Amino acid sequence: MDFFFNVLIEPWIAILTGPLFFGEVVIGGILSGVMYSLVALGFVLIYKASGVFNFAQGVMVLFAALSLVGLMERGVPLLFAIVLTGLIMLALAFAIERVILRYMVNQEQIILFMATIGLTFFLEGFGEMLWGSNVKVLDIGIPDAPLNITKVAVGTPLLTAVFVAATVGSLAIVLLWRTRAARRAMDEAENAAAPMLPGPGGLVFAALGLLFFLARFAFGPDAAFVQGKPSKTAMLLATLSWTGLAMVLSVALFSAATRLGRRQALRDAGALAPPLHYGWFIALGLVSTIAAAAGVVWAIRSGILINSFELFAAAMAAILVIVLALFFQKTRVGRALRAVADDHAAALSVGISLRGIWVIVWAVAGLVALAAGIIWGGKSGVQFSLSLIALKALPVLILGGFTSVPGAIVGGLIIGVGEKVAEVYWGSALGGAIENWFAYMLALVFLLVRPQGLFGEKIIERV
Amino acid sequence: MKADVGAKPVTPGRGAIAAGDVLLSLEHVSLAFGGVKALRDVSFDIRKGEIRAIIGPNGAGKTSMLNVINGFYHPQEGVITFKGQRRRDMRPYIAASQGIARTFQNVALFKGMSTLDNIMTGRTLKMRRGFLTQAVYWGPSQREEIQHRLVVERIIDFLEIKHIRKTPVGKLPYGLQKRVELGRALAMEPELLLLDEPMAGMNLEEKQDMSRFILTVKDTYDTTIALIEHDMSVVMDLSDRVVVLNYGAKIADGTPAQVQNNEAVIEAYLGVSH
Repeated sequence: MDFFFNVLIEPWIAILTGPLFFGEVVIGGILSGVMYSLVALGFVLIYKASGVFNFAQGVMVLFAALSLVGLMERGVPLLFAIVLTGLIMLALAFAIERVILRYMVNQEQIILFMATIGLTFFLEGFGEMLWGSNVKVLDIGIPDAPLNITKVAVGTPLLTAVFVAATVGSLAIVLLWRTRAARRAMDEAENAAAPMLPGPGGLVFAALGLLFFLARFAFGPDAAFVQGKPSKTAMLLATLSWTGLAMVLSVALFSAATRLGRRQALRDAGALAPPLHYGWFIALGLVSTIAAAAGVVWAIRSGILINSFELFAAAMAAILVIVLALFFQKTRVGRALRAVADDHAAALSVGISLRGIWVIVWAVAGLVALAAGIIWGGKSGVQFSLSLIALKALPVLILGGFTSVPGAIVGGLIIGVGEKVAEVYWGSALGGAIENWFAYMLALVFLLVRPQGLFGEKIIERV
Repeated sequence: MKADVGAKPVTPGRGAIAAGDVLLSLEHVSLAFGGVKALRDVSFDIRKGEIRAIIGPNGAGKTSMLNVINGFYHPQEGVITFKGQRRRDMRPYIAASQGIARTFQNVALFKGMSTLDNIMTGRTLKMRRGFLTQAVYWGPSQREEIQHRLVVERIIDFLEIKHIRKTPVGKLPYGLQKRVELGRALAMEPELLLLDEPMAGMNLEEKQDMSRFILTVKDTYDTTIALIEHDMSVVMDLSDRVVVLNYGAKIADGTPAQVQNNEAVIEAYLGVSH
């Protein structure tokens, strides 16, 4: 009986009675999950473009980290060493195409997979031959300790309000951006000759925002904020007003971005319009960065410990994902990558060179490996076991789907949070070390229920 | 469509081919897969500015022929001459960069991408900005993208598919997919356009539209066209010359009228009691 109580009931009581500590565990989980995502991302890139599971991704992380540390040990300053290692990874991609992939065109995928296993052993030996096999410390100048923010001099009520407002603002942008109406408005804007104005929906949205913003003045002065102890109504009003401001700003920002884009297009190509979505990216990026920053400060103020190193890792991963998404969606090379993934013959017929694409994919995967190497190497030292984090990426991929970049991110977060929470709350009842196997169990369950993963393409086999 | 956007420098020999001269010729081409002979000693040519039909019963080697021309298959014997350059075989990349575009029998589009993106892939070889500039995206790379969008939008207007510009092509009906595929080939500004059954599975109206597009492409853009088609009325109306294949061998070659009355052709299509 005791066992069942400990497994089924006790953890929930602990979660409910100590929400602050639970928040800390979840945030820790998110941050370490981001690090899994970084590794998984490398797999997804190569799998997407060539349908090959790259067994060597883990060892590429090790190789990148080894090179980085090796260069730094020889007195190269950190930033320069990172650039140099990036170049090494590029050279590696060229070499891999030249020596291995070139001879693998039209081969079965299993053959390519075997080739990546061979590559794994080679890179492992080669890396240690070049840089030595002893355990090394990678110091990138960011302490692996709770973040200290006593210098930030913004009042807590204001901070709370900014956090809520920016979060709501970014949600609003996402909604506006993703809805059908918004897309149609953008399509029309691309063709219409008249300058783009926010449509009726946008105007209503902005008006509502203005109303929210003014509400706080209607209900009297908000002096309650300044004197330390805000009342609940005052907090609510403040939040509402900041939200309103964010709404007005997001509409203004959107129309400004659209108009700018149109003007440039008119200048460049007659009546033709450019891709407009990056206006949204900028708006979303700004607002969500504000939300994240305010959120972090807010969380720390309320007593949650946030590891500065993990925070840095998360920020880096976020930037990497945004850059990759833009690259895949908006450029010729990105388009060619997607084309190759869709149909080899058609891609060849329009003159896309498979070899060129492979070099690019492996180079990008190499750079992602470098990012992962910096993070993981900085966290746990650079040694052979670094290449085994590839095994941690597997459940992430099974969860998120092998073909999806967002899937890699979400999968990593779920596993990161899941294993931290399981370890902390269920660890003692189940005998500890849950962190070691939790991810694999979760992946197993997923394989039974949804084999293509959360975001993966449904596998339809025509017979 | 002949906008000079990112056009490559004129190579020697290019443009030297006047209308009516031989643009592409195949001499004694044989292709076998193991024991199966797909093409047996086939020779024929395509002249600049004409519409050349390739017909024949199922399994006659028509598609293999297109695959040889655009470099997917490498024949064991024979010589391929394109724009005066003699080669043992083509390679897809060389074919594409020399100005050969094609469509496929079973529509090979990039299903997850929009109509616009699909046609933009046809501009791949015309876009010259490097990988690093692309990675930065803003600046020259974006300007280039916009210039090529202009070309693509004109093609979209021409093919009357403006309403589906942003639709993922996997969701489109078959007839429209065929049109998008033609658009992608046109975006390459080809000198030689290979169409593999452009009207398969279409209704009468769609066939008429497609015929109109093909004729306009030929007349307006000076594009030479080779097409495989089963609908004989279409073939007879559209083409200037017809080559007939049967069991991988050429059995007739000439104007539609000549081919129509050729006994070997009638035999291959209808069968003759011996």
